[in-house]
Amino acid sequence: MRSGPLRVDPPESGPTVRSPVLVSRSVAERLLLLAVRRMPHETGGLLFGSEETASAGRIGDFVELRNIEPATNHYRADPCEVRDGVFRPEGGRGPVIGMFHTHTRGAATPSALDSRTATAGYIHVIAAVEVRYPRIRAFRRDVPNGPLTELQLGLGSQSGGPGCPGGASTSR
Amino acid sequence: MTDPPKGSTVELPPSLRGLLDDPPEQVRVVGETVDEVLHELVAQFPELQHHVFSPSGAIRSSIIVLVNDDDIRYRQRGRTPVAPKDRITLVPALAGGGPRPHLSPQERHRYSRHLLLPEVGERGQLRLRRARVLLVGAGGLGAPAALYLAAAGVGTLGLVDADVVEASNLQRQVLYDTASVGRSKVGAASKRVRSLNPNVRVVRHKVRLTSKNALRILRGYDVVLDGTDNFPTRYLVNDACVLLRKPEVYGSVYRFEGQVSVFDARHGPCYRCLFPQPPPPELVPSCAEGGVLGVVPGVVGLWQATEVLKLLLGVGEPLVGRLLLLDALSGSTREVRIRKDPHCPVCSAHPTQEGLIDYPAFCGVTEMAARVPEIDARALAKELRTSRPPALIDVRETGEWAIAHLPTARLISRGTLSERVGTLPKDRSLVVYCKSGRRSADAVRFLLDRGFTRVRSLSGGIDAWADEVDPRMPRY
Ligand SMILES: [Zn+2]
Ligand SMILES: [Zn+2]
Repeated sequence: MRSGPLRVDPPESGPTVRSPVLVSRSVAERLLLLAVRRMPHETGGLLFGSEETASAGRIGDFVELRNIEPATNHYRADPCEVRDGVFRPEGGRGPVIGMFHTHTRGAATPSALDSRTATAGYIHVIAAVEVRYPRIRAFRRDVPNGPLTELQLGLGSQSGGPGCPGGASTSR
Repeated sequence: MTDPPKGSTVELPPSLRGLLDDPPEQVRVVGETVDEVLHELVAQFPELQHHVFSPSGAIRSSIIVLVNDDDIRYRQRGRTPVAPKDRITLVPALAGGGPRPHLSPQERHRYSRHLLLPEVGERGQLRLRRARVLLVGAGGLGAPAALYLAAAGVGTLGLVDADVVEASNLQRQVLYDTASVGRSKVGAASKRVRSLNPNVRVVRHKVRLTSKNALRILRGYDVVLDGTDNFPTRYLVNDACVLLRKPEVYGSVYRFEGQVSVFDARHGPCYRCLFPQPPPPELVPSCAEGGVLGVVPGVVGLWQATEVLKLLLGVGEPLVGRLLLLDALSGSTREVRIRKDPHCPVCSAHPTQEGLIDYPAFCGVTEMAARVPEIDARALAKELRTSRPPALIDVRETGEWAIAHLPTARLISRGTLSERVGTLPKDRSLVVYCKSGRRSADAVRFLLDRGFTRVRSLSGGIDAWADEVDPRMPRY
């Protein structure tokens, strides 16, 4: 895929400075590739933490879950598949630390629906195929009614060096 | 001995279990409905209250409750009954969406006459903006359709045409102006469409549609408007649409008459159900050769555009299973019911043709052209200057003859050839010509069959003569 440079920008909103969520470049690129491939439909799925640190702030892998929503500007996963992913992760994947979905129109900014459904305690990644360049951003809310604030995304290599900080800001 | 645990099993996702100081392996909760079970759960674990229920007391939309494999939102929500053996799982919602699309103030103004129609409205206008329509052929039918579909706000218009604009197109192809002559049709068309409505994305396919590229090109569109002027492409468009399960809006014109229909094999017949076999090529003059009143393709193309808009908006009764016949001279329209052919080779339940085929061969076009002896325009010009020039036979129609013909030629229209064949000399070299070389090739084959030996067809017809020998010759 040549869909422009991968942008990982500093957060645009939220006064809270948090530890960055780490995501490997290959995972980030595969997420964007998936978003482009599914155009004009949205897609989404689960984000797994990486095993080595068991840290909730490090995205090690993801799995796409089928979209059961017919409208092109919506994504909805089959809850049974979500359950199986959350309770019975396959193939030695790490714990589910978040969810992602794609936006085929507009920016990687949470929509009203996103804000309503984003479960507290998880990382919510939005991969947007914007007009100029594809982009991913991460958000999180700590408490059910709390604000959905942006997390800084740090691009790392697949394995990460010993100096890579784990995410310390998650609820554990 | 302890009693076996009572109640239904509740599974909590790790995010909720992480909130509890000493999360149990399994939570057993007694209750007869989901509401009772969940209220009992938060009574046992008050930390979960705000995560499960919103301040108004409803189950949060960020949590989905499954009873065994059933999402309670599709059962009786909180009142869904629960039996002791049931497994109740709280699952984090996984849903989302981009921003709800809306029209800009400029779009609202531009399309205000649409927005006033309840059948269109903002919803319909957004559907049009999202729609992708492919026009196969940017000629007499495609030109008016492209203009109105662009004006209506169809978001993506694909144009397939390999031709350049000719002066003789301007009599009916209103997408082009005099300055466009000599330019590629898709180039001139996209410029015109953009100046009409800059919101429209025009995708140029400056190619001839073939069995090799058809599926790839058509795949990216929602509706295909067939504005082709020849049978091979028409069968190709039909078969590709059947294979891709896409609706095709069909139109054709001849002289003062037109036809319109919608072929959607999922809901009705296809073009092959109507015409299983192409007519023999010698009986089908193309639009270029047959002549057409300029407004007729305009009317038919706009009727096609209307059907496209109906399909995109999901309003009205599409012309599925109905062939509309228009006659400009009598000022009348007629409707013919067409049925799905249960033995249709492409759209029936048991199709005998599973992919695309060689359409020119299917329509007998290449086969014939390859078989007859030919002479090119320059060689003919040279032979005509010799002491024993060949005799020239023009097999076109009278109107075509009146526009231009070769000196020394005799007019014997293809339709009258069989009755006048006796007047032709068998001992002399004959060269037969028409406009493009198609009808003359057929005529040569006819003459060869009747014992003529020294007979050839002018390849490329009188068009090639005008290109290569006499540029001052009037074109049509
Ligand atoms: Zn979203
Ligand atoms: Zn059929």
